[in-house]
Amino acid sequence: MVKKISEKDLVKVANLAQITLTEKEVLDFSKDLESILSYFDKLQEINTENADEIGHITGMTNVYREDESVDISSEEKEMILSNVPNKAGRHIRVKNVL
Amino acid sequence: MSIIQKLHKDLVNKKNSSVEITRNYLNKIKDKEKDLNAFITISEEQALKDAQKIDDNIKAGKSIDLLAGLPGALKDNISVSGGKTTAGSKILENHVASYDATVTRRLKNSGAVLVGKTNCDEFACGSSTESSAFGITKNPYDLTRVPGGSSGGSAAAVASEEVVWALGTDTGGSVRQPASFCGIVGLKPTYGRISRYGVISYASSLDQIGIMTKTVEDAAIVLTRIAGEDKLDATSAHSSDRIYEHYLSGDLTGKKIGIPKEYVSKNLNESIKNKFFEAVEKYKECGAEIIDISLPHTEYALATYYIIAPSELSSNLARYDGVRYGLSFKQGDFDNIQDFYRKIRGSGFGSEIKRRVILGTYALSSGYYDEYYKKAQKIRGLIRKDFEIAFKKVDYIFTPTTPETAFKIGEKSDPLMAYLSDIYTITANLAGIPAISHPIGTVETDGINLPIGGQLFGKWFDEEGILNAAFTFEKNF
Repeated sequence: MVKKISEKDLVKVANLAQITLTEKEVLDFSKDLESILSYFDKLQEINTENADEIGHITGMTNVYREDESVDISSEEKEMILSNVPNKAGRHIRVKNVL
Repeated sequence: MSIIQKLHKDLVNKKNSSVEITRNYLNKIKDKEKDLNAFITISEEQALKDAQKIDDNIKAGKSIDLLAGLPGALKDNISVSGGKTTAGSKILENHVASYDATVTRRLKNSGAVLVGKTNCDEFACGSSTESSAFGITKNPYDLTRVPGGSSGGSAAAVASEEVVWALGTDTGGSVRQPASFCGIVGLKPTYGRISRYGVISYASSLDQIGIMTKTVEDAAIVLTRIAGEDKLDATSAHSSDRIYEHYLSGDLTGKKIGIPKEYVSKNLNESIKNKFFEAVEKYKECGAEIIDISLPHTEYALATYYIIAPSELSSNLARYDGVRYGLSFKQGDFDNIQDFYRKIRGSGFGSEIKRRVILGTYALSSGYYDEYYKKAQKIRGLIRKDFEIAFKKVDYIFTPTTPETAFKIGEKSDPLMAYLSDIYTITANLAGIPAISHPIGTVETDGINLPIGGQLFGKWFDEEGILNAAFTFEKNF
């Protein structure tokens, strides 16, 4: 039987999801996903040609508000910054992107 | 009888003070936590300070809210400003929330005393609390068993009387399933009834805050205080405020309760089935008319859920990048920024989260989107339609909450087997309807009597209806 997801594809998807996996995880997840994806085959039993995709479940439509900036207190700003793992003064330090 | 009503009377009649009540509960926490591990954070000092404020108000002759001065807990995926909020994940181990969730703000406004944050499956993904990065919570009825999940800490805390009330979140049954396993009441309101602002997201189209208490009236009292539209959550429902505890008439005469045949099939364990039909008889004695119904797409709900929920999870969890908050590496050897992200996320997320994020990313990837995500969204519509049709015939629908009593720690190592634990609860999230689990007795399991719940589904925004039905049952039996 053809596998639904090869180990190579699993690693590719993990890279898209920005997650490194150990070799053991690749083996384990490959097995788990195979059985989960096979379970999903059940859905192909239903003809959904005329079914609508669901939007908001209780039928709400767009909710609008004014586009206004809201100032927060210096205390709140400090609290947000205190969660930053790697700072240079009041700047967030990141590895260069380009 | 409502515990909140009783304690409130004691407070206003000055038979007891909030500080004394809070201290009593904190002492119970100290006693039981080494066995249960229901809490991630306990905030004793702040709780006693808040309790003192209520006592001062009473002394000054001010009137206080029903919930004022009474200790409760929040699941650790609900933000409390200045407090640690981890969602049970290592990636948020040291994360301090910088603002209050809307429910936190509303609870504080009513004077409720917050004694701590409860343990849960990582990012609310699980049915046992075994996937928490902060240890497993035990079931108070049998310490070798799980309390259910993902709001297992809240359930164990309420069941063992460590708190009067607790909040959880329910994306596929995470309030109702642990309520069933721990013998308490668990209410998941209609999608949008309670603001999700300040809740760490799992699957945004399914997530809803839920309430866990020992009695139905207590759940109604807490709901009144936290429900309602919120500008900060665009998906919160436009609805008039109701005082839910005023709808508990204790009368079910003339109400129709549907029993869906798909929930009591031959696969259901015989002793649970028997206990469930005893409860059906009791509803009859309460004056309700029992009607057999069918919800034909039920057998597709689990697969539908496990496509939609991980898809939304994979998108919501993209924000954990080790840059603005959460686990990070200050030093290290990284090829580039992607390598940095991947290593942070690879080490910060537990295995169930990685499994679901990868599954969700796969289901949303081009080439598979139509086969999985789009298909699931269409079937979700069919499941909703099942309920629309059923609710033309009946007022409420009654089912077992769970197909089993609490299982042993470590028993469900296969993920698909573990997902089956949610089989009766996920349809309410997919359809967006309110549901409540209430105790219907105990079932002997391996020689011990373990609690089991029955579940009522209601029409969209008819929380008062299912609350009154469950209240009537509780009052009579």
